[in-house]
Amino acid sequence: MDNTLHKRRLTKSTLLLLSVFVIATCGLIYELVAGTLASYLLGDSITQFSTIIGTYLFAMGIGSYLSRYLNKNLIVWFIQIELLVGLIGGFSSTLLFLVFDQVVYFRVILYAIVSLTGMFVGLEIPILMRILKEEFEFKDLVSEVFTFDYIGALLASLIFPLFFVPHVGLIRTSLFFGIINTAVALWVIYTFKNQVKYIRSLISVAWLVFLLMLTCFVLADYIQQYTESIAYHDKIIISKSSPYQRIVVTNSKNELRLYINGNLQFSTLDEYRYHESLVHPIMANAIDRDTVLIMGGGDGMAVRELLKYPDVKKIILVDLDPEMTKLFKSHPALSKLNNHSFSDSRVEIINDDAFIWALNQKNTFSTIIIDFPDPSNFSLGKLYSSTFYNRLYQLLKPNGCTVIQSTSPYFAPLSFWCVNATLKKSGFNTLPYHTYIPSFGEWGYIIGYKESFNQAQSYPKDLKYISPILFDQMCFFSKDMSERPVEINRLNNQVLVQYFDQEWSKFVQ
Amino acid sequence: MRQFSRKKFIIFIILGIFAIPLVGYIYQWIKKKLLHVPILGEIKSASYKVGHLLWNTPFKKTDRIHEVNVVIIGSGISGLSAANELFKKGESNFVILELEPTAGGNARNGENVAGKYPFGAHYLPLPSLEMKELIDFLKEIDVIESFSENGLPIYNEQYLCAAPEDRLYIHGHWQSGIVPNFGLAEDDKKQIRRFQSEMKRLKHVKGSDGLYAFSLPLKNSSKDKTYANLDAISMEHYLRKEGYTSTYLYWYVNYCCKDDFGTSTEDTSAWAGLHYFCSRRGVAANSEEHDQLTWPEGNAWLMEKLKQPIASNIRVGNLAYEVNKKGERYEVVSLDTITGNVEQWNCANIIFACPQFVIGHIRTNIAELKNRSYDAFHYSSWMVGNLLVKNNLIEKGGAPLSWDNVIYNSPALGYINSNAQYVQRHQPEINLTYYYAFDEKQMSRKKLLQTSHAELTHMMLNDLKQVYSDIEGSIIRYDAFIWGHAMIKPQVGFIWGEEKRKALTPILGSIYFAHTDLSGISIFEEAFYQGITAATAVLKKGNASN
Repeated sequence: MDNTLHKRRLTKSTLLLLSVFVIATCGLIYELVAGTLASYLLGDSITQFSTIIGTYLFAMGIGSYLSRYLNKNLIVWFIQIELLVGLIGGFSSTLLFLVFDQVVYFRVILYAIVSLTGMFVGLEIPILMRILKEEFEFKDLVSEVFTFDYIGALLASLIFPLFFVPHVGLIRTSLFFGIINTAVALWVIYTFKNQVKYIRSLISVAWLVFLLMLTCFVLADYIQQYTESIAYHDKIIISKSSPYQRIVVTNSKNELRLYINGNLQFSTLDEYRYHESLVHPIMANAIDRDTVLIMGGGDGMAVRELLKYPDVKKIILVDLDPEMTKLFKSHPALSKLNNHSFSDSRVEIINDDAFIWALNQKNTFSTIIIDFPDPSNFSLGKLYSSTFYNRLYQLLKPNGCTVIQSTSPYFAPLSFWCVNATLKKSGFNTLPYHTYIPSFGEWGYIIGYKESFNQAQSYPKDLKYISPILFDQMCFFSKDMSERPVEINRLNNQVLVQYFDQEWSKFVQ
Repeated sequence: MRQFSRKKFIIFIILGIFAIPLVGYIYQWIKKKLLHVPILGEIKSASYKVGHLLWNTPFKKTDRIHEVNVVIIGSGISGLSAANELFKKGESNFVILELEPTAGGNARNGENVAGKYPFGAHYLPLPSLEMKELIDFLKEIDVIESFSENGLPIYNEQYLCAAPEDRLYIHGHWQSGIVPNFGLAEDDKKQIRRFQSEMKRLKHVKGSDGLYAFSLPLKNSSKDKTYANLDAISMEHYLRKEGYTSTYLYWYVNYCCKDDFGTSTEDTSAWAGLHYFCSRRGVAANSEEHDQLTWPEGNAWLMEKLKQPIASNIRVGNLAYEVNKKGERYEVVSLDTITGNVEQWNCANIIFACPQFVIGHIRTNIAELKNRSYDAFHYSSWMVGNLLVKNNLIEKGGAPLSWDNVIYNSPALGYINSNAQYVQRHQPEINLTYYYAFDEKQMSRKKLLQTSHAELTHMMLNDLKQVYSDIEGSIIRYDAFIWGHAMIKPQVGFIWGEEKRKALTPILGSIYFAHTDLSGISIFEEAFYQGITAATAVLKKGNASN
């Protein structure tokens, strides 16, 4: 009789010690998840990790202090807290992903989660020691509880970076440990069935939490996708990864937006402003409109504008990514945007590297439109270099004109004027201009010509934005966007990428 | 109960301690044995085996006899440059005999899906304006497009080293530029600045003979003892003598010596070490002062330009093994290793454009040739490996992948992104060319030539894992070129020494020598001028006899 009682006590106390171990492991994991996510979003991992660890430890202190106010039904408190830790910790990463793009709220929620888990873990250990004080001598109790606590911490700190982050992912990691927390709570409930009040409600709550987390664990991929679509604000209708880039199209009530590698390319609300300003100033008054060359511009919007001139006989579009031109040729919603211009027999699409294509090209053109992505990295910076513009100069007929989208003269004046200076260095006469595009802000273009450029007195009838008077205004640069001394962008210095990086980093988080 | 629990607890802990490394070991073992796919690739090397074999074998009788004016032995940059000079001045009756299956020597290259990559030499610093012949050559081949109003060359920017140029991995971070700076104490920085300003001063200093203390080609340097005597001490000694103590500075100078000569500061003469820092006065209208000219295939691009006009005069796979004087003329006997034919080339002049240690093996009836001494000539051995990788490597923080990427305190010399000069936006695979100069003490030439591909790969991985922890998953293949005699070592006393001067002296007014080992430093400029000098001497003799 005495022996069986002894045994039962033993399993109970072993179980409780095991739960210390689990609590410690899980608690630290939640903290690491929080630190990792905070470093992703806010950068500066040293600050993030040290503030989070500090907050967590401090919260544990608060929890320990509060434990003195809990006097009755310790085992019930213990189970409830265990469930709460599992619930909050388990859903912590999901919650943090959801508020990912709201930096202000992110911080509040982040520290709330860290404080709460810290406080509950801090509550649990003293409560547990009080539960177990009958079973052990004091010195053994302290020794065993803390030993398990610290072993749990070691385990967590090893498996988190080595296994969970690379193989499981953050959302599933925290859910997994939430599930383990809850499972231990369930085990404790069933073991202490006879000593516990409100047993039924506790059991049902525990199972509910358990199943909820298990469901989320299975559906973690969908959660991930959902959180990504939140980063884009709107519903994603197309998401394609080509070998070259990631193309995402989002849809809200009244607009479509195209993103490439997360950068906004256009919004249907105001893209006509961008494309009319790009195409018409050099087209409306062109001497020879027979053949037009476009480099970049795989969305076909510039082609749509070009086709407003009946005397255009051929348009050659050189764009790197076949996936992009295919989408804008055949997707019903997207091809509608460019007025099905890619299906026009006058349009020839060449999927090739623009630089290589230009180097090998033997024909010359009287109109060349250049609509490359912004020079945000070294491989794109090459397409804005003096070497490329020297080649462009050779491709342009003596009476021809080219236009280059040249990023924002307001946000990135050095970058804008660097493009201008580089074009000049390559022999072009230039005419810089700019306009306001609501979804981009102030945006700039530069016309390059060899002999002369005459402004158009009239534009095609069906335009929504550009007019001769407006173009006059576009050519005026206020002081905050005015020309400034810059270096020439060469392949061997790539200053433009550095200017661009410095300037935009002030505006983009 | 207490006793039981404690015992159990201790057992638990002990088991746990053993279990953690055991689990790790089993995991690693499974990964290695079951999931490990060996990295593909092969070892290439100079045809030293053919050479060794043939020099020891008696040969059959001559199959064919040719009459030429000049025989050039060796088709590295020296030989090609000599041939070019002859051709340019109207002498086209010559042949170049090359043992290797392709011409080019150290300036050869390979090619794969990602593009071209060098087997060895891979850049040319902008030449100083006083190097007229080299400037003219670069103009001829359109590397120099034109000259600015104030006479500065305007280079074709596609051939100037693409930005970002170089970076150094130091203290867990990629800094831009390879002169150590990130995380250095103020005193170290001060010493490095002092060293740099001293090098800047020496760059423009002239000796009592009015010549620059350090010049390219090297023979145009001042003979003033103030500077020439620096050849008598090592670079290490020089640094100590000047009072430098910074380990970062010592590392940097050692790195530069190894990169240019394959020798450590202890094994490099101070004159040679300083020559590296102080001889380049290149300027350009459209580039920084100490910029580089480079191509994906390295100096093979320049080599092709040198080769092109005289390509039909080159016989590859052709081992010259005997040189005899017969009356006023000379007979060079060679074995065509492809057909097995023995050929004889009767000629009036010979230019040896091969390393001196090779000449030592040639049979001859000419006493002056037989008695040449090669004791002072020592060579460093190199591995130039090419990693074809998927362009998805995860970079550590700091400066982005650059043309030249160096790891502080690595036994190797870092790696070149050979794709840096390509203008394509999308490069799914790239070639990283990895340079490793061996210290004779750590890895003898003999041992190096016997090292397996797996071991060479392991060496490279051990080094590069510092900067790309999961590089193995990205490697498509690794090809290693082993150079047993890659570069002449500019050891103490060699450059201005008697042995080298003697070896450079023509024999009987008809046998000339042109190779960078006769300069003492193995670089394109020296080879280029060695070739021109020998060819000019041959032409001068021809003119005199006409």
